[in-house]
Amino acid sequence: MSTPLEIKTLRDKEKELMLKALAKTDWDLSEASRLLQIPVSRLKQKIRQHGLKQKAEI
Amino acid sequence: MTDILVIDDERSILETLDMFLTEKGHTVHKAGTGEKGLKLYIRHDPDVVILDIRLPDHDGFELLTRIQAHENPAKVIMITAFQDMESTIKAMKLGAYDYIHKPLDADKVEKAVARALHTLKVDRETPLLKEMTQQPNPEVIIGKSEPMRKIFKMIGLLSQNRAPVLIQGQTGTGKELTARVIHRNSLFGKEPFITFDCSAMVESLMESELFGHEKGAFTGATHTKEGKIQLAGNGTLFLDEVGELPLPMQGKFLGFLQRHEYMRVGGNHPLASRCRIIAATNRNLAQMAQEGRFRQDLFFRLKVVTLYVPPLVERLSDIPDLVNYFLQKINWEQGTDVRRLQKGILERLAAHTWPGNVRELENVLTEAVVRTRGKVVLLDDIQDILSSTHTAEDEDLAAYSLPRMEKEHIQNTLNLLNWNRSETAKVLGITLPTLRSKIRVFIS
Repeated sequence: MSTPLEIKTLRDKEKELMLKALAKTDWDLSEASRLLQIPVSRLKQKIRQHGLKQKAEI
Repeated sequence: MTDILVIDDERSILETLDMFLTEKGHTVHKAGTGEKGLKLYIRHDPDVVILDIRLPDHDGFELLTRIQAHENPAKVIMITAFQDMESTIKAMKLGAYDYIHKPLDADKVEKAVARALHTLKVDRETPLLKEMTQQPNPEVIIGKSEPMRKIFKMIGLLSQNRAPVLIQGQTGTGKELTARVIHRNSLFGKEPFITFDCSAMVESLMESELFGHEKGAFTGATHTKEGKIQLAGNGTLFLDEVGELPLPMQGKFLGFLQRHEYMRVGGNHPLASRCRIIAATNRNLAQMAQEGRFRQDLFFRLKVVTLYVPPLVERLSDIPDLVNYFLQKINWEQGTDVRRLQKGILERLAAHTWPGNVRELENVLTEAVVRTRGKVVLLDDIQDILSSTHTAEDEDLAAYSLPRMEKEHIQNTLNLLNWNRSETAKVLGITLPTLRSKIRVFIS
């Protein structure tokens, strides 16, 4: 049985959505955690796990 | 103190229900046959009847029909051994209040009886709206609030001329209805009223829809076609969502407004039209014109007379009249007879923000009428419906929810892979036990 190519892993989907929420809130973590519906502490942990960083202002 | 009549040919059920309901403080009458049941019904005029669908001498449906024929009939709860959708539907159609299956569950019986009594109480304490004997007029604007009176006055003035009208108002406020009423009240009210929805069509088709086309104007144009302008004749052409009209079309339409002449696509002689133009939009055309997204000159042409249809929150005092009108309309359309409102409903409706305006009010009432099983709109149902309608903004925010994304992604993947769990876990990059526990959480 072949595996459909288009299905993303849960980890990738999670990372995508976190980046979207962080971009929308300008990295206001409490605001972003409200959007994502998870506690701030959990959000911080996930940011570390995914190695996410805020892009420096140009 | 309430009277409950139980009609069932099974002794054990009669005894059990008698004991159970008496303990709850009700007076219970028992009948083992339909004949005896009817006699007891007439003698005691019970509040609730619990009726077996199968009786030795009578069909339960027949008995139900005879009970329903009484004035202020009892609430009837049907019992049956058969988990059969057809008889459920039939019983509900004939006016049964509720339906419970054998073997009887004490909890379910108690809940059904409590609900029936509650509805009965509400039935009795709420005033009746007036009965409707004919179909309500679909082309009438309901309301007597200050902003609506202004609109009525404007409609009166507009009836004497053919000036273009721009109707502005949020979605669901009744812009098309307003346009129709303007048309009906004008000197040419018997002429056609033609609607053209500027948002419903692809740009390439718009021109030929509006202006028509000649035979052979383009591939597939096998016949000459009349455009909406021609169909409107000496009547009214209503341009809905005029803010969505693409810029090139705006130019062509402006030309028509200036000269009262137009040409079919592929045609070379001008056609005349003197139809009135009523345009409607929920967008801020003035702002769009300033930003260059709507032609300034067309905007000025269209807004010779501007009507502003207020959102429902600006005319909350019209809610009682609107509710009355919509209930009549809904009863007419659905064949229902819901003519009472539980106390507190009008207050609850007045406290809502109504982002979907009058249309939302109609939808809420329709759902409430479908939900109620008595003749009364229930406050609980209204509460429930109002709190479950999400605004567009809520929807948008929910799109960021991590738990929701996870659930949806897992469900989609499972469906794609025919619920092959080990394959799904592999694709999603999680272990099979993790997947299993997540599925358990969703289902619970």
